[in-house]
Formats: sequence, C-alpha cells, structure tokens
Amino acid sequence: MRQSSEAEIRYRTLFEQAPDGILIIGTDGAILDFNEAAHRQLGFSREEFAGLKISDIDPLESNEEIQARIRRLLHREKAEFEVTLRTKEGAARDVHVIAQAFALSGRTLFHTIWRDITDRRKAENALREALVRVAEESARTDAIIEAVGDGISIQDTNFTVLYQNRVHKNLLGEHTGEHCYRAYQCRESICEGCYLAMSLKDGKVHQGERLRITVEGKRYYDVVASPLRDSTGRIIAAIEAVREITARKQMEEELRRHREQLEDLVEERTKEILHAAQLASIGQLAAGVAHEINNPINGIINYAQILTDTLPAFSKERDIATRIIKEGKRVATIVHSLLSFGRKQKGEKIPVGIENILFEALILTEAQIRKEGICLKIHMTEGLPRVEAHPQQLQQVFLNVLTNAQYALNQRYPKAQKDKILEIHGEKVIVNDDSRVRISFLDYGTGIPSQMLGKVANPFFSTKPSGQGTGLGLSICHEIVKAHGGSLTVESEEGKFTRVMIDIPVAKSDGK
Amino acid sequence: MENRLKILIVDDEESLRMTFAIFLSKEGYHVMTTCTYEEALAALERNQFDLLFVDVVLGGKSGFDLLREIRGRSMSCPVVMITGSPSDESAARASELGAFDYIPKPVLKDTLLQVTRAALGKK
Repeated sequence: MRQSSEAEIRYRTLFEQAPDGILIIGTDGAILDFNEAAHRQLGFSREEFAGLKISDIDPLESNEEIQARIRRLLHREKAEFEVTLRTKEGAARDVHVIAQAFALSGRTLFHTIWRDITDRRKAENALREALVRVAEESARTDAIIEAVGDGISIQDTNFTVLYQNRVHKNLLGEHTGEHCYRAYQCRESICEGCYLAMSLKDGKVHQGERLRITVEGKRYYDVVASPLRDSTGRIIAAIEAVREITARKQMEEELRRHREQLEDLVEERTKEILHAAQLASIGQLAAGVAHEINNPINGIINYAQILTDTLPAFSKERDIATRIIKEGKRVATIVHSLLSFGRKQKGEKIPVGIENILFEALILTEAQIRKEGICLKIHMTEGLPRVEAHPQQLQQVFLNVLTNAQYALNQRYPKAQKDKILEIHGEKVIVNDDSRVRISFLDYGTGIPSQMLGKVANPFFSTKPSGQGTGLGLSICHEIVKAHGGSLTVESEEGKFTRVMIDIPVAKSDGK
Repeated sequence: MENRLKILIVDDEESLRMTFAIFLSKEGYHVMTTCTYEEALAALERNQFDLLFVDVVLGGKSGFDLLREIRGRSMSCPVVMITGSPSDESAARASELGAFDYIPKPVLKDTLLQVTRAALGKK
C-alpha cells in the first residue's frame, strides 16, 4: 500500500511537472485527467477542463474520426500522430501526440502525451515558403539574365571568371576559372582602363567601350561593370555586362566615311562650279571687250605693217615695227583665247576614233617635233573604242598639250639628244565603272614644281616665263575635256617628267 | 583707171579704213572707204564695186543691214564681213546672207590680200 502510494506520488509528480500536455481519456472521448501543462497550454481552468471531451479540444476532427482513431488505438499498443488542438480562446496549437491504450481496474483508458509543435511548424512553414521564394527569385533572375541579351560574367577580386551566362559564352567562349585578361585579351596582367577593376576599387558602376582584336578582325564591345558585395557590404566580385557593338561601330565608321566622301564631293563640286563661273565670267568679259581691243590692235598691227613695208631692210626702225606687229598679235591671241571660255559648243558630238584626232594633231606638229630633235614614241592599243566628241575641240586639246610638252623638252634639252623623249600612250581604262579611252602624253622635260601643280589649270597661270605663255591653254583644254564628260589630270616631278592624261568616255554606241 | 577693180571698205574705225586702203591701193586696186551705213549706200548708188569689206558693227545700223540691202538690190559683188567680236551666231548669219567670207579682226595684211584675191578671182 505504502509502496503503491509512493509510486503514485512519483507518477503524479512526473505527470504534473512534465513540460508536455498529458491527458487520460476514456473510450468515449471524455477527458478523465489532465496535467498542469495541458491546462496551461490550452487555457482552460482545472474545473472547465474536467468536464471536457476530446472533441472539445480537437474540433477539426469529426466525432467519427475520433472514434475511428480510438478504435485503431484499441488494436495497437501505441500511436503517434499530429493534430491541431483548440485553446479556450480559440487559438490553434499544433501538437505531436503519442497515445497508448492501457487497462485500469477493468476499464480501457488512453494515455496521451502531446508536445506543442506550433512554433516549430511555423518555422518550418516559414522556411518552406522562403525556399520557394528563393527558388522563384532565382528562376526569375536567370530568366532576366537570359532575356537581357547581354553577355554577363562575374569575376572575383583576382579577376578569375566565376560565372558566364549563355550569351557571354557565345560571345567570348567558355572561360570559367580563367583570368579574364588572359582569356579575352591574351594578356599577362589586367588591361589598362579595365572597368571591372575600377568597380572593384571604388564600388561604383563604370561603363565604356572595349576593343578586342581577333582573327576575324576588330570587335567592339560596350561594357558595364558593377560591384558585387557580400552581406557585410564587402566587395567580393564584380559583374560585367557585355554587348557587342561591332556592327554599330562599323556602321558609324561607314557613315563617317560616306559623310567625308560627300563633303569632299561637295567641296570639289563647289570648286568646279566656282571655277566654271569664273571662266564663264572671263568669257563674258572677253566677249564684251573683244571688239574694243581687236579694233585698235588691228590698227596698231597694220600701221606697224605699213612702217615695215616702207622702212629700209635691216634698219633698227624696221626691226621695232616688226616687234610692234609681234606684240600686237600676242594681244590678239589672248583675246581670242579668252573668247573660248564663254563660247558654248554648238551641234551634236559625233562618235569618232580618238586616235584619228590625235594623228591629225601630230601631222600638224610632226615637222616641228622632228626639227627640235624630240624622239617621239607612240604606243596605241589596237581597236580602241570610239568616243563621242567634237573632233576640232579635242584636236585643240591635243595640240595644246603637245606644244607644252615640246616647250618643256626644249627647255631641258635645247639640242637633240637621246633622252629628249615624248611618249604618247593610247589605251582603254575603267574609271569608276566607266569605260574610257585614255591618251597620255609623257615628256621627260623640265617638269612642274609640286607647289605649282595644283594651279596649272587656272586661267592666267603659266609656268612659262612672262611673255611666253598666256596661261590659258591648259585651262581651256580642261574645260573642253570636262564638256566631253572626261578628265584631264597632270602628274609631274620637277626636273624629271610631266604626264598629262586625258580620259574621254567611250561612245555609248561602242558599248562599255 | 576704169579697168582697175573697185573695192569699198565700210568700217567706222579710221585705222582700219586707212591701213586697208594703203595695202589694197599698193596692189593696184581702186579703194574707196566709208564710215557709216548711209555713206556706204550713197557710195553704192554712185559706183559699181567689185568687192566690199563691211564691218559687222557700224554705229547705228549693222553691217548685216547693209549686206541685206545689197542683196535686196540684186547686187552680186562679193561681200567680206569683218568683225572685232566674232561669234558662231554672227558667222552663221553672215553665211545665211550670202557673205563671201567672215574674218575676225585683227585682219592682217596677208589675210586681207589673200581674201581679196580669192573673192575677185571668184568673180
């Protein structure tokens, strides 16, 4: 009896002081006994608790469910399960229950002990939700990184590549684990002006362009570097977003080139227009004053002629009269040349063999050329296509150029000798997709000083000493060739040679 | 005197009239000169010329007016037009009106004599 009483006290003490809720329940669900923890955790007073049934504190389960559980317990010794209990205030408490049936004085009773796992549950749920959120966040970040279209890589503070997204790998190859400067720029140390290094250093975002020389040529990238920090704010790496802008750069470059070409063209055309306007106004002026000059000059020449006719031969006076005629003729020549600037060519151009025009010009000058001891070499391509031209005008051009060449050769070599050479070439050339016939005159005469070369086509500019040239010949030639849709270019080296190239477009009837 | 060939110079420039007259007279031609269109007409009324040199520009009426007048009177003598401001247009006009030649100034002695011989030879 005493022994049993001691055991009961010990049990009672354990029962009451246990931190977990303990109930003794009958097979009908009536709560027969409860401990301090149960009473405290559920908030019912001891008196209230005494009248409760299990269904009062486990309202989520139906009577049938509770009965079924009780029946199952009767067939087993012990069961563990989790249920949600209701406190007096109606709050829910999640509990882990261990229940066991036992017999007492012929009655079957259930001993249930529960541990409150509400806080653990909450923590578990919070963790689960957090994990879900992290997974969602991660998936979203991945999607954003892919969607941006930029190559993204992360380098640590030693410039080792930690991560590359797909675009970055496609752009620059797979280099995770390598040093970025070696992988991308084939260098042994970090690149000058590295944006990533700047971000690692000052913690700010840096942006700019990078050039990379590859076997396929220059490639340009737009780079944005930003620092990556750990939870303490320490910079542990940096992110580099890379976008290839080679195509844009090439377009910009192309655009710049086109713009420059256009500006050059505009400048050139402006010069041409101004030049044409200048020549036209010279022509107009000449036409205006030609009458006023030609009449008196005619008088002067003729008066001098009368003196020449009457003065004794070999007299000084007669010599002077002859000189007056010569100078008068010079004035008349200038006026005549000036008139050609204002004159518009009448009539249609006709298809002609340019070599025939050249040969006619040579017939007129050949005797003089031979007399001067000039070695004339002619190289004509067989079967040159015809050009559309005013034959007389082109002949004037050829005669003029021939005269200049003869002059330069005679200046350099006053007498005949083997180096006194004039070469004439005739060939078909393609200039800017246009078929042209080129006649070039190469003389090994005095040449033209480089500072004068750009001015030889200007009216009144002459390389000859004063009184020996009007400075109009080549500028008229220039105008004539231009009116034929062609070009006249002069190359020269002082003391060595002068080459005049005259390109005239091939006649349409002769095809391109 | 009567069998010498008669030439009329029509030009408002005295230097031209004088020098042409000297050159042609020396060659044995009978030369007359006039300054204006009206004077030229008057000279034409009184004389029969074998050749005319007519300046295109004659203060007032032009050399072409004179040429037209001559052709209107069914006079068939050759007319050589001379001009100080030659142009394709006036050359074409001279040709249309039946001028024998059209020579830009300055007209030098040799040219003058050559053209004269050619014009008279043709006649």
